[in-house]
Amino acid sequence: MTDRSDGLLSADLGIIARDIGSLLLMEAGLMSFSVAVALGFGEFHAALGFLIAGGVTAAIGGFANRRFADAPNPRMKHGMVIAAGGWLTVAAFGALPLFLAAWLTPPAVMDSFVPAAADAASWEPIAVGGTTTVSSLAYFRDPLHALFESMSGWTGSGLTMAIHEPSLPRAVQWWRSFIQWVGGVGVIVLTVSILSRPGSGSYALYQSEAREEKIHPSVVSTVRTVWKLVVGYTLLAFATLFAAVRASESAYAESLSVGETAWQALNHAMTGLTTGGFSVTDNSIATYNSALVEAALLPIMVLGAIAFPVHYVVLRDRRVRELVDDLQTRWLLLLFGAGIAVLSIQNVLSVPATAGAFSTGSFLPVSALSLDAAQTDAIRDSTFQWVSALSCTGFQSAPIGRWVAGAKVLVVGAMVLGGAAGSTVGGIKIVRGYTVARGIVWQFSRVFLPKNAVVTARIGDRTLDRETMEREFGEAAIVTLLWLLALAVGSLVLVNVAGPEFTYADALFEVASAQGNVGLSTGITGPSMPPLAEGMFLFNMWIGRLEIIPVLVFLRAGIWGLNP
Amino acid sequence: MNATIRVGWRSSVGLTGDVLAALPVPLAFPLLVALYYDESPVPFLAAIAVSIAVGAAFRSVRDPAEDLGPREAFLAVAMIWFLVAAVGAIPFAVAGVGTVAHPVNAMFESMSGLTTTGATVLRDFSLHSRSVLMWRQVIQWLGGLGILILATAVLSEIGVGGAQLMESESQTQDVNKLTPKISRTAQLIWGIYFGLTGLAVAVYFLLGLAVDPQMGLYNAVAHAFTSVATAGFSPEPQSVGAFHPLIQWAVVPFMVIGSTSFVLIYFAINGEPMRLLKNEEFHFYLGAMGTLASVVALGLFLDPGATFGVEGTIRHAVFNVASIVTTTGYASTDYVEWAPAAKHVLFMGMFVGGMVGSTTCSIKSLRWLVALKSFKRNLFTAVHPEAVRPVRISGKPVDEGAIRDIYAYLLLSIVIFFLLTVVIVVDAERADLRVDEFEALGAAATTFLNIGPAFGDAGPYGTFATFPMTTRAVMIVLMWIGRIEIVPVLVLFTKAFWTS
Repeated sequence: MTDRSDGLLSADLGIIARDIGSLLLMEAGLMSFSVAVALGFGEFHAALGFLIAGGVTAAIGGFANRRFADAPNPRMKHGMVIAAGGWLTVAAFGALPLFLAAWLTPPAVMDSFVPAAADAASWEPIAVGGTTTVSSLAYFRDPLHALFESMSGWTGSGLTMAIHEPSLPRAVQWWRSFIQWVGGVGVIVLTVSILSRPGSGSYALYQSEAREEKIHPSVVSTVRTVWKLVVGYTLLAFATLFAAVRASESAYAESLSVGETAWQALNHAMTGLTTGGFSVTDNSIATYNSALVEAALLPIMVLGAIAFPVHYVVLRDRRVRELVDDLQTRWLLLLFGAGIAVLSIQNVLSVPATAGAFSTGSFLPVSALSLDAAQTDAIRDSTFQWVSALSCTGFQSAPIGRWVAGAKVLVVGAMVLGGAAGSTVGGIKIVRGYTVARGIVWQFSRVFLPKNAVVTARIGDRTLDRETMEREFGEAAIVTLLWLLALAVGSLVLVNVAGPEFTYADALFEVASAQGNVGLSTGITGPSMPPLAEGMFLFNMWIGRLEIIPVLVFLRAGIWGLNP
Repeated sequence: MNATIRVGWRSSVGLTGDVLAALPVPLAFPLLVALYYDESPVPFLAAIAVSIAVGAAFRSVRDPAEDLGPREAFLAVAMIWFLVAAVGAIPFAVAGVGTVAHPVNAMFESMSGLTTTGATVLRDFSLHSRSVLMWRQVIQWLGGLGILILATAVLSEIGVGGAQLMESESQTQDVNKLTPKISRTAQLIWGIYFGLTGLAVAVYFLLGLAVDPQMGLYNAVAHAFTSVATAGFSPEPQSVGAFHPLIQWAVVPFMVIGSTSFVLIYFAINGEPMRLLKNEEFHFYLGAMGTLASVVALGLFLDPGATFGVEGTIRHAVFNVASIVTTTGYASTDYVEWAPAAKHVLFMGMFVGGMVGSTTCSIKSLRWLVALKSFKRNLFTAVHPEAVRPVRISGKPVDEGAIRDIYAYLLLSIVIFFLLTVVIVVDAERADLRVDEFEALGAAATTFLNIGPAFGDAGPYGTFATFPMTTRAVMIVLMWIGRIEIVPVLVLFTKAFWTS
């Protein structure tokens, strides 16, 4: 029943190589565009790095694409292998520009990237080529760090190896934001074209979506529509952020020039909307220390966590009610509200016990509702961090590492669940969580029903018969269980290899953040983390993005091939 | 919608009454111990009086026309486990010494006993009379017996959380008539359970005579009760660590057998040992235990802080891993002082559990085995959606509904475990008590999965009395829910249970 081939390169391998090759060609295109950005900022060393990386990527991708041009059309069984292999390959090649830029830029030039205003004296110097620099670019001389950064970007995670982002060349800052932005659209394409096939463990999830809310029948036109939406929203987010930063009265925001403000607004709009979470400021969003900027980012992150088909319906039909009618969006909005409330209570109660856990400088001039300044700050940080976690963005406005364990565990819950399927969020996703919850109740009440009872269930506006419901539960349960198992094992490994200053809650938090493609950090992630943990995070981010099953199929195919 | 109650609750209450009315029999045992050692018999007389009175009252509401169906069985199971624990708490409260004088602590100790958990709130063992300490052992033995009957005769018949996959001695045709099934299974199981307990008493006592005077008849009986029941209470504050290494080795096989399917043991005794030896769940269970023990032993060898010698290292690794995986909860040494990595391995071991149809608790090997095989199957069908490939256990195809039951059970366990952890962490913070998250995770797992000791203050030589009272109250409920496999309790809160 399958095409058996005795050759060294079977037909399967050809199909996969050709399709991954064309993905690499696209990536080479992105790199070429970034050459222009580097040249525009006068960063010639970085430009050379991007040029070489683009050339290598194009050569390899082109070769694979050409060599297997006559391979048969991909079939369903290839889809998942191409997706998992493609993500890995694209991330690997995406590390090239970072790696090359770090080696091609001389240390003296690296130092010139460090902003004059920065408090660089307290930064740790990095030894490069017989001298030292404080520019975080030097970290990417380590190929593992470069690969980590690229994987974190392509999967929309946002954990970073660049401790001090402002000391990176503009081109590298741009590349980080750019791959998150393109990677975000990639996820939607993945959703529509691969995960909505049987066997992915997500089939039931996306198949239902595709049937009822499919944007367009074909993948190509879907991609086109998604791009339009993403570009439109990004421009809107850019304008909002730009205005917010200009209007903000915090010392940092006022020190920014118009050009610098626009640059930051553009980068943060790109990474915020696609729920990626890379930033170009030193301490993520905490740098601004501005409630206004945080408030402007909230709706951007929320937009990114709503399924794209819903956006499409809302915009095309001018039907805002869809936001309430759609099961996922309704729950998403509910969870935003409920979570903010619970996390705020926990954090307000913990204010006396945690010094320096929240932003300072009471943002409200007067005490409201008999809460003092520290407590209102706790609420402000809880709000921002909850939205950032549930939408799997990963912008950070507070040192979460200093929060009490209860608050960390709550945020872990948000990162594990994630936002709506069909958007760029990570985690197990709301509709899957809902299906699992309904399925558990069904599975147990089944005991009391006669074997032949006719049962139907309603999920959203779909009515499911017994068989469909059971199949959907089965698929959702597999992915959820594997997700939780990977989280448990990963956190136990991490707590053993991370330093003694980190508790189990920190380890759990960090793994949930990586696997949920979030990017919040308690401080474990950084260039000085153990390589084993760094390598493990690569895997966590990868399986998190692809919803696990495709990666396992890829690994299985790597060992036993695609034939039974 | 028909809202009338369709559950034959009268028969559930009646069955609960039967069980309560039978409690004076096990209560007579510590009573005799009290008389022998010249201690106060009042705690046990009070409990006997209450159980007779409540039992009679419950029996009087029975309607002989109703039979026990699945719903009635669930209701009865939930009531029996809770009320027997409540009666079991009376001797602790009436004796009125130490931490268990407080009613919540008395209930904790009793529930921990009846659910064969083995987590204790006792602080100073020397305060308590020998008869009260013996009651802790008896109630665990009783809990082990109860769970055997529940697992082999009720849960496997109704099919809860995949328990229908258990190899049972005969599948009844009609799940609406559980009573005859229960009594027939009980007769078969009792014999094995009594026999094993008697054998354990003899082995421990003879070894005690030979090598360790501390293991007298009292301790031999006490430990025989709780090792076959995989329960874990010990009248010694040092648990089994108080005894000679040879005795520690002798305890291991009894814990392991206690966690082996009693139905398969029945077959093995009756001339079909291959059904046990070729059972895949049995392989998985032994394999998991062996792997974890090897990892812990390796960890202890590499740990410069652990100085047990070769025999001691292997013994402590094997004993404590077996104790955790079989969900017994004894300890041969205070593993709280081990390196973190070894403790993390023990923590993982908590989730494995022994075989279905035994006295073990936790998730149980069968569920993991089915889930893992089904994951593997799913990777195959992902590439070949057209293929039909049933999951097989010991050669027999597994029903897809049972697989989904197992998914549901696993997910529900994880969610409840996680919520309990949150409660412990938050409640400890509220009470200004320093419990680190790993200790909280351990305490949540050990109570909900009915194992016994955890880490930190709640370690094998420690006590759960350090947790706030509210946490302990929540733990009581979760030990109860965990022991009777979650579902019989949770369905009581669904509308479908009471009406449809």
